[in-house]
Amino acid sequence: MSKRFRYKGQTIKLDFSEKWTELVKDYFHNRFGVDPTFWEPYKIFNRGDELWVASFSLVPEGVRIVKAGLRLLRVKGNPKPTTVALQWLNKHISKNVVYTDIETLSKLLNGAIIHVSNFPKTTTDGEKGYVALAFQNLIIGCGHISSGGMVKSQIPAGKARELKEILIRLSSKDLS
Amino acid sequence: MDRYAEVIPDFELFKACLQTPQPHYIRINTLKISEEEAISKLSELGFVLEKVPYLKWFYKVVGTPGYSITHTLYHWLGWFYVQDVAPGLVSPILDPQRDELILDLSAAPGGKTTHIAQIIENTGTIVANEPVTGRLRSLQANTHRMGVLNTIITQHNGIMFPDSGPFDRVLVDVPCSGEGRARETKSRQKGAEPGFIESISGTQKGLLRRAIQLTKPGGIIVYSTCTFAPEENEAVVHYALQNEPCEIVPIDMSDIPHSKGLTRWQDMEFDQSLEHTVRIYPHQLDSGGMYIAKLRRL
Repeated sequence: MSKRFRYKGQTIKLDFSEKWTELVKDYFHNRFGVDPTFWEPYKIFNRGDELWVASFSLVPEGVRIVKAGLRLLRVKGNPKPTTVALQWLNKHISKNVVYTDIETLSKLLNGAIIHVSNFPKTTTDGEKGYVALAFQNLIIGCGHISSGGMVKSQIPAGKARELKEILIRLSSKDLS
Repeated sequence: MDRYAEVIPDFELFKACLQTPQPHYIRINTLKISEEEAISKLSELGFVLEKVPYLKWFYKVVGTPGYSITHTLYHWLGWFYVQDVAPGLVSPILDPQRDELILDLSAAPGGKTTHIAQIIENTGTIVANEPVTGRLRSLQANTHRMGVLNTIITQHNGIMFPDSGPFDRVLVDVPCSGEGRARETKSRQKGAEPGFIESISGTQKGLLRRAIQLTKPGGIIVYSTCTFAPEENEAVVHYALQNEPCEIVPIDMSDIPHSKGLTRWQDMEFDQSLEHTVRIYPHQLDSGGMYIAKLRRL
């Protein structure tokens, strides 16, 4: 099923095809260990090159939709999860997590690429692909691990800037 | 503000209150975290929080470790929303129910939208409308941060919002002169300019009329402002009562300090039912100011 809407002269298509739900279930189960039944209450839809998750019960006709729900995955090329989706999934993620501390997270946010062995803890076997970055046992966003085991932050620049300020405050508290 | 001396109770207390800094209140976001865990983690950081007895999930920040509660990882992760108690009363008064279709006609930055989503536990559908492109960004960011999934964000001029729905409930929190935010912004303490009040009240009337038209018969509309000006409050609701099929629904605030809506102001007489609308002054709740009216579409 899909619905089309007019917005600023363009047609926006929300595609609720079952194949997108299956893709999301498979991807998050295989890569992050999310139980496929987790998705049962939600609607998954494609918009452009992205998959979104939502819980709204209907889409009203006649309105200009700017955004609906939460952006989950970019599906152009290899699927890439969004930072906000991984934060939302948090406790449902059970593998491919890289646990950071203030030092390693600060470096990642400043653009450093760090070998996976240098983090306090991981639940990844080092397989190339996207990982969930954790801090204080909370999922904070998306990272990427290369075939050589090098980890890089994928947290968007604006969110990374905000997080860096929080870390600076935490560091100064630890030192005081 | 002196023009309100006859209608604001304890006017000297009111004026003195405007000179004091407005405290921070937070609403714990149970879409993301349990109330207990959030309070425990914030307390570990050194924040001292006092539960607001009349408003579910709200806490007053009465002590900090030397920095703002917005500069924490937990705020960044959407565990709570910094929201004053006066606007925090608006969504519970709308009383949204699970699985309903709800419209928030002027939604940015999203405090009330995310509050509604929390009350109905991400069920139903909220259409969160914001006409101003620059303000859409904050609305999108806050719905994402708070884990709100039942919301469709739209961009329309609210007065010309297209025929849609009809909606079970509509919140119309209108742009206003913002006198109720005088504790946050010193320049507002002298009160709003009459010319601005006159021009904005036309927009407010148009928004409220459209909100009523978009509501299904029997459905609920809540009109709110953060100003004291009767021209933007009772006069607007009185105008709607005269021009649209609707009636006032009394707001039950028996346990919460507040004042009744006005039934007369200077040479204006308003519908008697407007005494069942609500005025909140800063010295009553140690908050900002608010006006709230609840209507039923006939």
